[in-house]
Amino acid sequence: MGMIESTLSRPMAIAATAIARPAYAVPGFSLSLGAVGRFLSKPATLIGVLVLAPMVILALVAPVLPLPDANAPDVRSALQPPSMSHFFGTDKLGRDIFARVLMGARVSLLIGFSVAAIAVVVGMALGMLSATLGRGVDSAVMAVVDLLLSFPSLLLAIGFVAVFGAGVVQVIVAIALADIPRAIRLQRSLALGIRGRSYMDAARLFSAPTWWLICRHLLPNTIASMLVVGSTYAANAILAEAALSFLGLGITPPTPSWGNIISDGRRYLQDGWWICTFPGVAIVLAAVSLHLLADGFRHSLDPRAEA
Amino acid sequence: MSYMNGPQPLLRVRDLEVQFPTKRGVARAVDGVSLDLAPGERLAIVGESGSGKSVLSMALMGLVTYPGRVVGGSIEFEGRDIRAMKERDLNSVRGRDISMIFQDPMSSLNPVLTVEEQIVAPLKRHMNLKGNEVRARALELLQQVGIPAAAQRLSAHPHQLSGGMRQRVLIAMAMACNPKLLLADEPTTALDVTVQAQIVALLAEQARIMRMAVIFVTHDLGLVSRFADRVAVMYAGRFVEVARTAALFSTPQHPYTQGLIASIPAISGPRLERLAQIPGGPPDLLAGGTGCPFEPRCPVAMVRCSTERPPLEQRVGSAVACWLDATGAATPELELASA
Amino acid sequence: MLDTAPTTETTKTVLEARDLVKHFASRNGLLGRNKRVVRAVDGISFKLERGKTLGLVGESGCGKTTTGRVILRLEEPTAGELRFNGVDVAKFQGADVKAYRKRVQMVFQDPSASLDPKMRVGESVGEPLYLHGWLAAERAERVASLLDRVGMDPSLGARYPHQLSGGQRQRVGVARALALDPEVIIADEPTSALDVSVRAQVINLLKDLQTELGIAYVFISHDLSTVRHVSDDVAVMYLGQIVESAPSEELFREPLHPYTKALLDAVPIPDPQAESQRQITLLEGDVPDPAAPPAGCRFHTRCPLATPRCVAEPPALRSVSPGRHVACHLV
Repeated sequence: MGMIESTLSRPMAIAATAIARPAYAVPGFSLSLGAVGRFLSKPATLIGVLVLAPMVILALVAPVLPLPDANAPDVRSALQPPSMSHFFGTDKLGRDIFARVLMGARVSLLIGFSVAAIAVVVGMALGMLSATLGRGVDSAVMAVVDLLLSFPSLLLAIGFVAVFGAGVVQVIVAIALADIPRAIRLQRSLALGIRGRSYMDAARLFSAPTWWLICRHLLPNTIASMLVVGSTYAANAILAEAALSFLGLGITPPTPSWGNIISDGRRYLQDGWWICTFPGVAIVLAAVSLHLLADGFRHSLDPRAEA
Repeated sequence: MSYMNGPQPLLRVRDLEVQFPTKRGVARAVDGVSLDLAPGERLAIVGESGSGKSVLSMALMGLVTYPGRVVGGSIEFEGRDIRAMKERDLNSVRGRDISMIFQDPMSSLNPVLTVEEQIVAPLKRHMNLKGNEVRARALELLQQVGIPAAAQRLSAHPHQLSGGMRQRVLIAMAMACNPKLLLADEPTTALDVTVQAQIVALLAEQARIMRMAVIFVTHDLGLVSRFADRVAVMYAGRFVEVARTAALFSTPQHPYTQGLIASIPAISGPRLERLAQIPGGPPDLLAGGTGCPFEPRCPVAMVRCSTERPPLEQRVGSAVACWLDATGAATPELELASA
Repeated sequence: MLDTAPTTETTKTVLEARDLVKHFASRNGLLGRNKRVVRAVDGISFKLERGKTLGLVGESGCGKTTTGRVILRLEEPTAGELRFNGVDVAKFQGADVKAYRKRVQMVFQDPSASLDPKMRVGESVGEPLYLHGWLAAERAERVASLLDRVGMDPSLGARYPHQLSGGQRQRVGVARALALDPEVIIADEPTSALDVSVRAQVINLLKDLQTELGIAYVFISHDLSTVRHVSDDVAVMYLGQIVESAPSEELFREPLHPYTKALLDAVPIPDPQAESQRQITLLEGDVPDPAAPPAGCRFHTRCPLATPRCVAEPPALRSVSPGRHVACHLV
């Protein structure tokens, strides 16, 4: 081996750096520059990012901005149209709509992203286990999934809130209840599809334990799809929260959320059109840009184009 | 240039070019192909992946779709310009005068329609037959392609048939309107060996009976010897050798052809310890170099081969695109150039 | 680091199957009353000698791929014995199977599907080593030497599968199969998905490795011409049974079973003159459904020489000369 070793040493060094990464790698995907570049290459995706990013940033820094208190009534300035002092006008209690929309963004966006995160994490975990642990576990999980899916999602959310009360956490769980079964189903079918591929057979031939098959092979190959649907869950969650709050079953006033601002402004559509319009526009912008992001994820994380 | 004397060719292709724009550049899938096909002639186009053979057969039917584009050359079928035809006129040519069968019979047949419905489709479209006549013709076609119990099979769905049966149904559909030209793109690749032999024999027989010309696209040189009158070997978008079948196998002239023939393990004759191999891999269609695309893998490559691309030239008996002549000596111009 | 020399066993037969059976049962219909049994492998026996190659040929539904998977214990055998170096592994479980799998490995058919697209090929080759407790530095060295041994520049280990050609991917598959120093490799159609000009490269590689390392192969393929040049012995399978087995040269020179003859007739010779002079018989019909094989001799529905006895009575696999077995009433 000696002679061969010396001629191999340079290429071996290169190979060694490539392989010396722990083979058990933290499950995830390599966010290579190539993927990011591809992500931003579609104009639609770029628009999505350019719209969503400022919204998120504004939502994050809202408390420290020099804004009027979102909850402080000021009856003298009630129902004022948009102006330099009140960008989005005021509502019937004289509260600044701009401030309320920004604070509402914190709530609505938080709910959106949380629902997506919960649905994806729980969905991946249960979906993966359902696909790999055998018939018994699979039947049990799918029975629960089918049960949950048989309810219209909004009714499910309303039911949950009715039992557990309204509040940010309850609303998040309520909305997630509809998406978790879908995520489980998706992950399960992806995992079942991958399970049959020969590289899974090959890994089994090396006596790979089940947790290895899941973490090293199933996860990296399915996470791209879950990211895509996760973005759509976030978009839908924002809409669902708006619906719930509009019905009075979501976030309770005085805490503003986009949904309950619109709910409050319902009666003033003629005299105070700005109360409903601005949060409505915000909801649309957020949902659309999240869908555009989803499309961008799909485009950039396509395994065949992966670099 | 014309490869044969005699009557007007059925199909005349000149300098055809088809390109596919990709993110990394333009892939020249078909890079200047010319051929003449006589009526009733059986031509095989042999090539590997990346040779452009499938794109060529699609182009002949006017089926190259976005993002691929036919960017140059001409295709004349019975004197009519295929490239200039509108979709409406092409539709009356396709299925009636020119028809095509593809590699995977399962994905070429509509899974929700019965066999009868699918065979009848081209009949109704092109032949103006009615009711009973149509059914009778469909039955006749199934029997012609050797499907047993044809009457029952008419009401079957594709998934109820085996691979061989499905391919026979496709052949029946393709022949329904008595086409003058049949394009067969790897029709047997997805089939079992014994079924492959049946299908090839069926195609040969039908072509003879119906006086149909066939272009048989394949990667399997062996099948070619059983089926074709003439063979065109394709590499990186161009023909590198075109010859009558017997001549191609007895005296292959292009190094690629020689390599392909040599690397086929023989079913009879002496058993080899090592198979002859062609080094390297199929060409990258995006590379767009100036020399002969086979040069990196060619055992007899010369300096000239990397800078100048040899044209397809007619020599005695076959057309070859190589700077070496039939005796393996460099063509005379080289002596002057390298001095 | 494992010793790269083959184990010094005194037995010549490294792998032996006796009446190996694998049935797949599926239940359909209400309450699972409709039971359908696919008899994928229905009692086969063969011997593989150390350092030699056994070719397993047949068409779809013959059970050759299932046989390969059963040998590797990717499927549990329904019945029968599978002896590796004399020890019956058919009933092994757990740690025993793990130890067995270090000695028997597989090269898969489709090089694109047999490598994880999210892993660099160096990591794929190193995966078996990692799972068997090798440390990082040793793994890196071994992977580099494996890649070199299969004729690839070790620096290609940093690439992803889609950045390599089909032939290169298959070489990676071979390198991975070699990682744990197996005594037997099951090669399941290793060249079917490759371009013709690249096939010979992979075949020659496998042969070289056999000479160098003394690995025995079970070469599963439907491509008779390749099998002829790669195998020392050949077994022809039809609908889950072996219909003929013989040393390679004898089988191809003088096939005895009608199915073997039909298979050979179906392979075209790249010589138009010889081709036109051949007397070939083409079979009628298609391969029957493995869930409902014909009674008696399973081949009788397509056999040009079938007799009433063939319909009634299944022929046994008999020895007609040393090393040759045929299952046919007419031989």
